[in-house]
Amino acid sequence: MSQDETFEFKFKKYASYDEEYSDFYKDLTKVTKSFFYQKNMTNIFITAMAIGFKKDAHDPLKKSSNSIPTEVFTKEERWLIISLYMKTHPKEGVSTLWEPEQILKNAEEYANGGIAYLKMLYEDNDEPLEALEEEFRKYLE
Amino acid sequence: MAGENLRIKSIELKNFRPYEDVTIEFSQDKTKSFTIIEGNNSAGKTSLINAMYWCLYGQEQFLNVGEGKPIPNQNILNKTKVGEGCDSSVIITINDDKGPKYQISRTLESRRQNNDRTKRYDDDAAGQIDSGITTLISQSFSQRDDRGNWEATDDVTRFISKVAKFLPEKLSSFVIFNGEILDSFFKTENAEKIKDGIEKVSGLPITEKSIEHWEKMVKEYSRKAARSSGTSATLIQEKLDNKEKTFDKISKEVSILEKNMEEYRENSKQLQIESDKYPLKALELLKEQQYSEEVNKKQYEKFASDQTDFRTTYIVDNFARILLKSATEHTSQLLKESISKGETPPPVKHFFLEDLIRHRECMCGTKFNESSSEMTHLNKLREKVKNSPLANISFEGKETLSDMENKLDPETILARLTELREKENQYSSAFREATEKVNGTIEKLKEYDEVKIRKLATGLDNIRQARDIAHGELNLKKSQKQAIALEIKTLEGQKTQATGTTEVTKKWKMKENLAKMSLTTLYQVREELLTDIREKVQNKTEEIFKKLITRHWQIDKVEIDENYKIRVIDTEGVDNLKTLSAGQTLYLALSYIAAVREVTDTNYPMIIDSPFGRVSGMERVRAAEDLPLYLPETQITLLVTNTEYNAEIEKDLQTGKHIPSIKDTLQKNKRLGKEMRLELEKISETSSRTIVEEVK
Repeated sequence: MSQDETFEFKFKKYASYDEEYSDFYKDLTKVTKSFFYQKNMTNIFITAMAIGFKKDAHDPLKKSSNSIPTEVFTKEERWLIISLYMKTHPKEGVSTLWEPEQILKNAEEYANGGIAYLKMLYEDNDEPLEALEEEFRKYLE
Repeated sequence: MAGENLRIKSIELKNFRPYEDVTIEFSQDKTKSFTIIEGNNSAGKTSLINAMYWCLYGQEQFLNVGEGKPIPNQNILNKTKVGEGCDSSVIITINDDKGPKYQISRTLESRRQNNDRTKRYDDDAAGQIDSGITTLISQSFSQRDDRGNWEATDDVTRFISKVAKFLPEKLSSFVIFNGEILDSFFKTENAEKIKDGIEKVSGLPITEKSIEHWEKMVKEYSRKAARSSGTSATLIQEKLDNKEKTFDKISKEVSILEKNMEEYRENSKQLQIESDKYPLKALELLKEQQYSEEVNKKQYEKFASDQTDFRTTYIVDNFARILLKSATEHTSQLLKESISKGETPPPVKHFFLEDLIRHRECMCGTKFNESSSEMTHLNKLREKVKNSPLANISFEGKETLSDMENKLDPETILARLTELREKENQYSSAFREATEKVNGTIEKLKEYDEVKIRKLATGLDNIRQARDIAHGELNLKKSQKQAIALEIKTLEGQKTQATGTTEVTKKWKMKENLAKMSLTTLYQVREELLTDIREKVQNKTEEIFKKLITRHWQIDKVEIDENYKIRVIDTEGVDNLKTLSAGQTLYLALSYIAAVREVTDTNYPMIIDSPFGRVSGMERVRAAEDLPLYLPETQITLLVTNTEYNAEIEKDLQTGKHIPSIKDTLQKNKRLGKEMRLELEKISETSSRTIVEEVK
């Protein structure tokens, strides 16, 4: 990308999760006991990404779903995605902002690594919300 | 019937209410005289009693049991196709000492004529049936004569007359009765019940017939005396005869009205007692309570669910922020450094510069021109800013991350999490409490049979209205009767003056006087007979009652006065009837029934539904031990629940003694002849049937 004054930071149109987790993503927003019941896909994506980061789990996607419109990311979510990239690619500095596609790809890989943990948390507990809160508290104390 | 020792041999039930095809055999052993039929509520005990009543008298005794359901077994009836039928029948076989003596049967034939399944009330079926079904009743009474031959009739009139001779409906309350309502036996018109019982066993019908005969003779002789005295006396006699006829007619009407009034009073009192047990007002209050509890429950459920949503959203919103805290801090630092190095100058400077250039004005307000050094400086700065296209996104990052940092205090988040959880717990526990309350109220409501209660309330209103109407009519008839009595007295005076003194007249007058004397003697005989029997019943009732109840030492005597009022006098001379417990009243009723039965010489079987439902502890055992002593050789059938029959008390609260169960008591005293268990067997989601198993 050339460094001209018309540059606008923009992710590609859709973020992806691995097709393998397609049903899980959908279930999470529909099942009442889920911590993402009636929430957005972006909430799941960002949470999975954060877990992936903490657990240092990042897996390339086997088959992209191209199903999460990046337009719906809030500014905060966008900067969580960018911050993850800057943290995991410390040498690249601010110039990394020229590469939104790389930044999003990085986020997708961490989300793909984190979703497996999230799935475990959801499926192995009768009360997933309590388990998520417990996990959350670990990082607060 | 006199001198007969009767026992029920068997009852066969076919398609009668919950029974499909069942035969129940009763104990024929004179010492092991008890037959126990045990079953839970709704297992078919009351239906069995109703079946016997229906077979004998064509209607059920406890009408509320079916609640609109008809007599024919509904499983069978519903399956019938057009042209098919379902026969519901009850056959009762009664033994005397020589074997089967009577067989009484009643059959209700229900036939499906078409497929009209709209419901209608059918009198014969005593409930709602499909409109496409027609019904027909038939009955039969068979009796073995002295030579062992059987005589049978299926004619309705003869059937009714045979049953009335065998066991008059009024007397049936001394043979088949519901123990649960015996505690109210003496709480309503007890005098009438006692009079009834005593008159039934006193041999009065014969005396009454003699009295009737002599009353006719007195009138006949009086008429003849008048006729022999000439036209004037004859005319007065004719007038008198007419007036007496009218008087008799009105007397009969008054007597019917009085009887009706008495029945209304009795029925309304019985209904009132039933209504008091399950009052409509209490039901309505409970329903209101349930409604407001349901509202609370729903409210708390919503609060708790909203609170869970708040907590979930809070966790989800902050989870990624906290886990990525090191990343956001790192980025924030990078952005600050980049800005300070001038790599990504803040866009605000760019806009600000453009503004200054456009207005040719310094920040301090000094104006300058296009060629001034200030303008050149500003243009150079604009060029520098133009070369930083990352400025916008960097600035956004700096602002966003700074906002985020302000929200990332772990202590605040932990405190908020705890606060949210506590609130959620509060609402959840309030919801649980509300749910328990609702469930508690629903449980309480289960004790109330709403249909029955509303029916009782309506029934009570109707009876009271009918009673008020009858009361008005009765007063009218009574005044008419009084007026006619006065006219008769005047006519009798006129007749005495008009009656002559011829020999023939004298002869008839003498005969009339003799007949009057016979009548007076008969009236005395009737009174003496009644007094004698009343005293016998009174003494026997007292003897049995004192034996049955636990606090017998406090009771001095049981009295039945000349007005047939019963009193239970204690050692202080006070009547205790109104203060007796439910159990004691039940035993007083049982003692009275046993006493009346003992005075008669016909030994009928005795069938009691729920005999111990309202009695507990030692009184149950006493009844099981002592009743057979006062009802020797009487076949006794008890319809009991498992609790009534099998419950034993490890340690009685008052005596500290172990109290055995009724079953143990009967077995110990070798009184148990047969034991049957009724079970409700589910045959589909909506239907079930009663099966009978003999307990060996």
